[in-house]
Amino acid sequence: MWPLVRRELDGMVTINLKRSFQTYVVFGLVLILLMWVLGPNVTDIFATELISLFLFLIGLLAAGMSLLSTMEEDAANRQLEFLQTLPVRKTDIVHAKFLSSLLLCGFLFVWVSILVSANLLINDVWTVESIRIVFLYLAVLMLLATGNLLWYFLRGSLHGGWINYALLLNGSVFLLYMGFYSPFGISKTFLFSISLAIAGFVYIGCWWLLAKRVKNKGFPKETDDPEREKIEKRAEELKRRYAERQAKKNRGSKQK
Amino acid sequence: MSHNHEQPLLEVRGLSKSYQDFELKDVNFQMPAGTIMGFLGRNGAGKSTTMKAIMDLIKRDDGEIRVLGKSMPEEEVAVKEQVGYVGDTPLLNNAWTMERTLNFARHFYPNWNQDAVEQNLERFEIPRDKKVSELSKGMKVKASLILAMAHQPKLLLLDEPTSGLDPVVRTEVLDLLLGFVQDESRGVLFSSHITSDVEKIADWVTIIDDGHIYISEDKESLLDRYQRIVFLGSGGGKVTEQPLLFNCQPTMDGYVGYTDRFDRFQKVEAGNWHSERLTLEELFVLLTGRKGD
Repeated sequence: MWPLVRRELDGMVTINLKRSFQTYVVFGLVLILLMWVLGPNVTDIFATELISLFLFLIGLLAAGMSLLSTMEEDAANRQLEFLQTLPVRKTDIVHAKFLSSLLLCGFLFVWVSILVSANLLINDVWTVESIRIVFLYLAVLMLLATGNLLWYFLRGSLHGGWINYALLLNGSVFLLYMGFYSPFGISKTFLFSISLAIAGFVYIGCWWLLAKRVKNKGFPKETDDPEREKIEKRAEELKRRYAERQAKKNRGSKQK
Repeated sequence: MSHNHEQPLLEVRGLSKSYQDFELKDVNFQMPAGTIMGFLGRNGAGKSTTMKAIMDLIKRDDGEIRVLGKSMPEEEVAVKEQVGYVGDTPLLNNAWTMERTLNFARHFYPNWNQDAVEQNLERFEIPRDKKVSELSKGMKVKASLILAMAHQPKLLLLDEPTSGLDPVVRTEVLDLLLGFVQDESRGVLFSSHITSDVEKIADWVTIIDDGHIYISEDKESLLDRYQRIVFLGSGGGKVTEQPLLFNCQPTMDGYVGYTDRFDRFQKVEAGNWHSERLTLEELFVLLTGRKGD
């Protein structure tokens, strides 16, 4: 089990340049959207709360991209199929994914909490009330991970990127609205606590449900799609032909 | 895990799986210990689906699979400790080095044999510190085989491991498999549409076509049983009426037909004829072609 978890964590920290570029583009778009939503507050760009908000958003993006990169790499290399050839139960693969995602959430929660605390301390506005928002951040992180994992284990990695971006956008708006405004006049302590409780319940519930589903029905299309296999074989054949043509060309030019 | 040699290494009973445009129908066969079974079939005949169902990589609709007497998927961990699998495309992570792949996999197997791994890496000149993406297809196949054999499995399941490889690498792979079954308690199920590879190393042949097992038999007895019968001279009418013959056709100087009961045929048929032993390829074409008749 632990080697599986470690493999997941390793995958999460592997840098994918293409994906990183996409991350910055998405981050830029989210930033523009937020400035538009925030309106006049943006004029005070170094406001303490705004810095905290950016820290939360960077933390969310890091989580989303780490989850996405490991899932996409696994799909590209058919690692779900490889893992199933090892003497492990299918449910262990699900448990490893959920456990490693939980560890990632925990890691980012700690780091972002430290950075936000430092921001509040430097600006001399640190209070117990002002730091409670990190629990809302943790709730959003867990919901983001749940959404991604739910899609991955139900539908595979296809369109996983779009799902991740949609979840990130929703999570950011939710965090901004619930964390920095006071909707419906509800106490923030209650709001943050209930958000965290719901997120925890949803995360554990989906974990349990998906483990059960994978045990009964197996993994989604990654390993169960003859059409995909045909396409892959065709691609392999084309690659082989191309390599043969190149080799012939090279031989021809050497003879000349 | 000790294994009774009388017990088949692999038993597949009534295996079925339906897709939108393909169906695996009531697949039955068993594989004795100490054999290399060639699993022959055309592209899309159901070889990979059967292999994947054995490994529980796909969920079957019906049927029973037992490996070393243990039921799949109920005892999948115990079974997979004794099985090595190489898919039709190598399942290695392209971003990892071979070293990293082996270090990861060894955690899962109590029987991991590092000495054998070192020997095979050296023998096949697989660089351990190069990324898998930088290896050629032949090297990837050999690396997959080294990985699949590292835990000294009793059963190797190889899904078209030699397709797309050059003859030198193919021979190396086949030699490796022959070495593997020197231990009589082991076995290899080796799917391919390259009949010459199967003819070279297999001692048992299973032919699948259109999702249906057509034949599963010891290779030698199969090739003894099916023979080409060449009649010289006239008497074609009589030949075509012979119930032990099929696919009878006239030739320049007589008639040619095929029998699947050569023992019986030679007892009952007198006259001017001689028999020719078929190659596995001829037999394969004959059987898969005949089925459609």
